[in-house]
Amino acid sequence: MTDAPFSVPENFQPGEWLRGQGQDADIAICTRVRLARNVTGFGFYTTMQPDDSAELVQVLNRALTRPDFPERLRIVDLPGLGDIERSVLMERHLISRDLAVADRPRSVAVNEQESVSVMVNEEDHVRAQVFQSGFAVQATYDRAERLDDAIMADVPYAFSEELGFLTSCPTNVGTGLRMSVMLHLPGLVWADEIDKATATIQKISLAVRGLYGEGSRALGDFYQVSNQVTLGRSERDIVRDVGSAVERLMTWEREVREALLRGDSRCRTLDRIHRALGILERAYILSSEEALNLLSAARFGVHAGLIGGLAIREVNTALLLSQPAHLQRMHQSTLTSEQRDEHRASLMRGILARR
Amino acid sequence: MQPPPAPMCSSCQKHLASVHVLDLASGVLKSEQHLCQVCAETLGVVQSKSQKTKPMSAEILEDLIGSMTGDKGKMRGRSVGPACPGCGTTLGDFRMRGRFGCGRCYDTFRAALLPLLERVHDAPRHQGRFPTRPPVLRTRPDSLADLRRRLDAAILGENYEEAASLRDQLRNIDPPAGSNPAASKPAGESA
Repeated sequence: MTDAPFSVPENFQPGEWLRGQGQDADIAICTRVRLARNVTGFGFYTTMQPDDSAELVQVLNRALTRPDFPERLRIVDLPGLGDIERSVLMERHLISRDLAVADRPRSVAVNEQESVSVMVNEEDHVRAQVFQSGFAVQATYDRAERLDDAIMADVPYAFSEELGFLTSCPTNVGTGLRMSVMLHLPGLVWADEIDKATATIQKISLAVRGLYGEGSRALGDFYQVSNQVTLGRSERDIVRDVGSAVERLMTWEREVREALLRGDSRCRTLDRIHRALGILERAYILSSEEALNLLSAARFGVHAGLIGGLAIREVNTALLLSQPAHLQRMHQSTLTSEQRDEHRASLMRGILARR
Repeated sequence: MQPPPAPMCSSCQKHLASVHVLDLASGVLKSEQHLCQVCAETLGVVQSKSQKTKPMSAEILEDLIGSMTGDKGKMRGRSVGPACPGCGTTLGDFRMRGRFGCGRCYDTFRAALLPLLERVHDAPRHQGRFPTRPPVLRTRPDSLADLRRRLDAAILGENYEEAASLRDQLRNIDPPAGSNPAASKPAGESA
């Protein structure tokens, strides 16, 4: 059993997506843009031979690191990494689950702030991502477009005038753009309005997913809202669609949060937040799901000004470090599920003890 | 018992039935119901054809791909339908994987694809940005990988004359270390 609380490693950086700053950062955790592209002259991943994949990695990485490239990127060769390190990159949203487990030459190019990541040989040859903490759809898109232009100056992309950028899956063809905003919506969940909110978003052809994309469950009241349609709408349309839907959701969330802190509801809300803090401070076993739910309550409490001595940055750090791969990397060994639960609880006690 | 030809909808009795629900137990027909599209949708037997606003996920895409090629049984397996000249992918492959094999697949399977695109997207026409430079001029039909593949095939087929020519092309376009990758152009094309 782990008695002594863990301490957070010095200089630990939670990355851009959990920086906890920017516009509307109390609700909008991070804005992300992803562009899917394929290089002409190479088959898509379903038909590509290993030699081609390896050549493509070289071609793209040379382009991504040329001296005049607008982003300073470091290339990470993924087959050369261990399982835990690859999962760490996934938990930091720098690579997808598919890229983490794929069995072919592949890489990711990342900048120091972790606000840009370019995945090579994912489902599409290039999956370029830009992150910005908070709600910033236009700025994030603009940076992604500059990144796209810089790659295209060197590498020809598969494109048709009729169907736009050609992707291996026709659900991404056209702009190849997925604009997502990761949101923290404890108010809507606690007030039982999340299903109504989700249905409203889906009616306008936007998707609501868990934090880790398609197929992931929404845990700890964290959701991401993104466009589904990539063809027949321009990038400008998509940025506006997602932006206005997110603004509506944020307004709704704020109204519900205020209601939860008024009248008869206030005591119940305070009770829920402080119970969560109590468990985080005292528990010796915490599953990943329970930790996320408790940290969600703590995050709400910090933003509502109800909890003193705890910074949002610490909550975000706890959110990331409590993920399985981060825990294992910090411990420098593979841990069983039971061991992880003990270490996670220890980590939370360590962070909360500083209050 | 065979259903009579073109029966009327057993629910509204007004329209021709187009949805036939047969209840089979151990291969024996226990009961049957014939419905028109409207009644079938109302009763929840089939999904609405006009549900365009429903968000599309990869899971739903798989169902759509299944329905876009008609007879499901016939579409399984690699050899079904014409193969894409760019990569050899067939419609059967696409149905199984939900992914195309190369950019040319979009042309090859255009007719089957357009209804799917109309359902998944707003309109089957690109409204977004164009590449900063026209990629058609920079396609690489004779890329290193492609040439290597053709060289392997020529050697296997004991076509030594073609193999020698391909080997020479490969030597000519293999870029020296540190050079701009975009400069690896087909043999004979000026940089």
